[in-house]
Amino acid sequence: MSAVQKLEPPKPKSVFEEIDELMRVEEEGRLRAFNRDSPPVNDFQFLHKVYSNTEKICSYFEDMGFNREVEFCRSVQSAALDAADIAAACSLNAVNRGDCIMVKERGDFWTPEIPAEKGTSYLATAFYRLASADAVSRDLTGRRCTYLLDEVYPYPFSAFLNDLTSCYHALVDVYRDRRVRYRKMGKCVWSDW
Amino acid sequence: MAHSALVRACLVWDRLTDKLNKTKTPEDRNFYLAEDFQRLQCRIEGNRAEVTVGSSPGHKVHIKIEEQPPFGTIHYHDVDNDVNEVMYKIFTDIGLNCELKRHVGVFCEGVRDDNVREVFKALAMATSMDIRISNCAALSSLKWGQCMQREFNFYKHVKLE
Repeated sequence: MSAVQKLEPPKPKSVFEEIDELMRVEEEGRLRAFNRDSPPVNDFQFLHKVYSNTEKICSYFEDMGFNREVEFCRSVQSAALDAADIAAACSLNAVNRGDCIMVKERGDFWTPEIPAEKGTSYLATAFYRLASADAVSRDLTGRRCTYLLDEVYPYPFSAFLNDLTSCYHALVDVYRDRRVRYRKMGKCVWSDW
Repeated sequence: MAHSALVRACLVWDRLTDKLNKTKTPEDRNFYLAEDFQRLQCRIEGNRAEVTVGSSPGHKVHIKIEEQPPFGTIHYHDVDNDVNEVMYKIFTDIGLNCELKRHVGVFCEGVRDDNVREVFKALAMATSMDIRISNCAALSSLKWGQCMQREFNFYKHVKLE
């Protein structure tokens, strides 16, 4: 007699289960940012995890036509992606997160050369993407999402990680709010509250 | 909470635009341009709706529904004067009190529970209307003015489910 296995499709996650999963990445970010006296080992992979998590959020906002929210999401996403190379370079050269400088002075567009890796600078686009996220966050939530951006110079990678994580948290909050409040049917989106 | 009459009207508009998207004009052209149809969207908050009716920036309509006189409003934004003229005629036919502003749009009062479905039916006509009028004038024996009238006739004859 052959055994027939019935495969059940995976149960779809509730919004709250999904949010819970998204927030675990935030916890990891905080931990990494706190360890400023260690090189950013595996931060490259972490930043890519932030990128793929935010992709789900951005796609939802695009599908619902929430344009400002899309802008916020894409800024956070781009900031994460743009910082990945810097994380990899500092990790490779055993430079601690607190010494891995993203922007030396206000108005700089290039990162300073990483100690031990002379002759290589990166465009400081991650910094400016996060600044964009800050501006949109103000529109959407009434307050900026970063704490140290444009406040602390030189601006190290540890501060960037902390700020990125804060903006990611704000983004997840906006996502949770929209998921709970809005319904979509066909081309129609409406608030149930 | 979203006004239920607006939600119902939006869902009617949703089905009607899907139906019209599969329709051809007498010139054997698609009723809607693909890039216009892809941008169609309606977002409702409370007693207000914002409807994107085309791919041009700013081709949006703002609708407010009210229970008491002078009732709600519709702000139809469009820079195409021919389309504005046709939409003015349609909205007036519905019973709204309207003003046409050249190169700006059509602004009406009088939107209520019992006519908001007709308003959304009218919005289904606005999408790609400029292209249909152009194609009609270029490819048929009708004159430009007759092509505009034809759009009004389409509106009168299209059936809501």
